Amino acid sequence: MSKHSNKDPIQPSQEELDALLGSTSLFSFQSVRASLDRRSLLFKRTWIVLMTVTLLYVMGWFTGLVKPYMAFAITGLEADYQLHQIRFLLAFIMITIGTIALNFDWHVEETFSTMAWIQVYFVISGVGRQWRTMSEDNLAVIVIYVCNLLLILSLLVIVIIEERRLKSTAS
Amino acid sequence: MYRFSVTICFIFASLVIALFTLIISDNSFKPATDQAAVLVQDLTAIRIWIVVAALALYSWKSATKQPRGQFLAVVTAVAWIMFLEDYMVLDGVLIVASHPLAQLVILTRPIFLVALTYVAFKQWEVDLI
Repeated sequence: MSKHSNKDPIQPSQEELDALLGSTSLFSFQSVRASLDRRSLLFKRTWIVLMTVTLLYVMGWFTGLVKPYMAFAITGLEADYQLHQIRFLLAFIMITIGTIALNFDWHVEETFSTMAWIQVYFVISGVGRQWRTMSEDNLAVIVIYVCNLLLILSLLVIVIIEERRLKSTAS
Repeated sequence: MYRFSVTICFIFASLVIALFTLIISDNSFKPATDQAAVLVQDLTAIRIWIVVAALALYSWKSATKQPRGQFLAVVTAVAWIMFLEDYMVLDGVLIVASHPLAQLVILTRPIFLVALTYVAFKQWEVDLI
């Protein structure tokens, strides 16, 4: 009899080994695409729009297109510019965390809910700041700024709602 | 340990509220420029409302025994972001007078952040169980 035979009752078969090893991982690692495929079309589209907005923002930042719309352009205060920089960085950290959560399919709803509330903080403090520093003839700039922030917030809210819907249908 | 950490958070929130009351009632807290003064007013006002809202919500959720892991995760994330904004970015703007209360808030802030993070993790664990 062969040494590696599965007929030995003590030695598990390859299928059993695969099943055992497959269930030991803490996170179910998968690609973002695989994770998105499990979700609704709306979720998928919202995620793509969110990524596109982020990409456009990066392009706008590095080409200097967004600079005239920042509080720094009006106040000339270095702190406003630095504040924008750190929030910009934080937004990217959040997008990364969101992608990781999606990739591992781990607490997606909770992660995006936290991100949405942080965005609420950015909206309130950012709009409040713009409102105080901008002159009245620059109302259009404030409106564009508010719309931009609210668009991101609404995209996050759609993602949360869709994730909640997926969870409720799965259970 | 959990209760001790919650106590630290409440003490810190009380200190922040006391400092804010002092700032609006005392003229000795003056930033370098007028624009910096506006920025300080804006940021302090927003922060104080967040502290008050978080305290009220946490107390209400505790009293009604609702799950508060998600809420604490949000509060912790915002607290860390505000810390980053204050110390890494706004260090030259948020000029606080050498008042003992202001110094106390600065000194206890890292302890508060650690305590809040611990409370958030612990609460998350409790909610999952």
